[in-house]
Amino acid sequence: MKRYSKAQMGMMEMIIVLLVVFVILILAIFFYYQFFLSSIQGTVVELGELERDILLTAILSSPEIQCSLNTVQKPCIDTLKLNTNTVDKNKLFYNQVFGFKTIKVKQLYPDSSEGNCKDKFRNDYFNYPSNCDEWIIFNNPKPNYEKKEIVSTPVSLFFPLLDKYHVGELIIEVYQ
Amino acid sequence: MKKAQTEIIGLLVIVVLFVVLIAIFIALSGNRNNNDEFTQSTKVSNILTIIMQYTPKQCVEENFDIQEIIKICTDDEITLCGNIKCKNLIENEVSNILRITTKKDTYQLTFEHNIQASPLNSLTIGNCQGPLKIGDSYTTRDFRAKLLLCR
Repeated sequence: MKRYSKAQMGMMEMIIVLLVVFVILILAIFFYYQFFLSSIQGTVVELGELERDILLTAILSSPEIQCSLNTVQKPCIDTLKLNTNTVDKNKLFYNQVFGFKTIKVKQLYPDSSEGNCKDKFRNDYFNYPSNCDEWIIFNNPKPNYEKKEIVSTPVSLFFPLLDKYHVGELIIEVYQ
Repeated sequence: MKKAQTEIIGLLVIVVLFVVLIAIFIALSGNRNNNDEFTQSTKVSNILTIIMQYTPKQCVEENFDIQEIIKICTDDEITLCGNIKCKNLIENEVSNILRITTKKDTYQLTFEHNIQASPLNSLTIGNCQGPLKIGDSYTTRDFRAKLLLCR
């Protein structure tokens, strides 16, 4: 059996210690990287949520849809504004403002039949608004989009001609 | 103390340090805070506004919104909008709105009416189950409505 000298033993011990130190270092870097990555992912999620909130708030407070009484803005959506085709008539301008998105408002309560409210407002006003449940404000889907993210918030729908409020939902589909 | 014993103690110290470091890492990585407080706060405030502005279909002629009905509802015997007790009207309509708008969350809505005899002071709509996510209140001169969302 081969016998090692004391110096060789010392060298081997040092090599093993260095090996262990390196392993520990690599593990520490790995864990730190994992932690760093997860914190970045958390930030991405937070920023995404913030962006969606800003988008919802911006659209809710845009003069094209928000209620106002004697120039004072109120926290609701004016359905009469939704029935006019302001956005459709200026599609090129709004394409630049909103980008690749679909913005719509859905009536949730009280229950109503399915249908496009803009059409029903013009063609069947007698039964309006119980004969429809959806207003498409803006529709510009991205051709061959990879994914679609949907954000929504409950809103109050004001019917100025009837002077009453219903419950609805603002839905924004973001194409990426 | 023998040399071997000292070595073992050294090893133990390293192992303990390792365990502590791993525990700290796990604790920190598990505490990933998807902070959607702002979203929820907007949502709960929107829901309260929606409830207060809503015109129940029974009250279209009188043109009462929920806020007006709550204000009037100072006694258990008060009826309106087709002879419906104000407490029942509020309970039914508000429950329906909350069920539709809160989706996955559970909710709890309570009222504090300035008039002590108001039946709304004892009314609780829904039952918050799970940890509290967010709460907000709607205050007027006559009453305060407090909404909690849980999940």
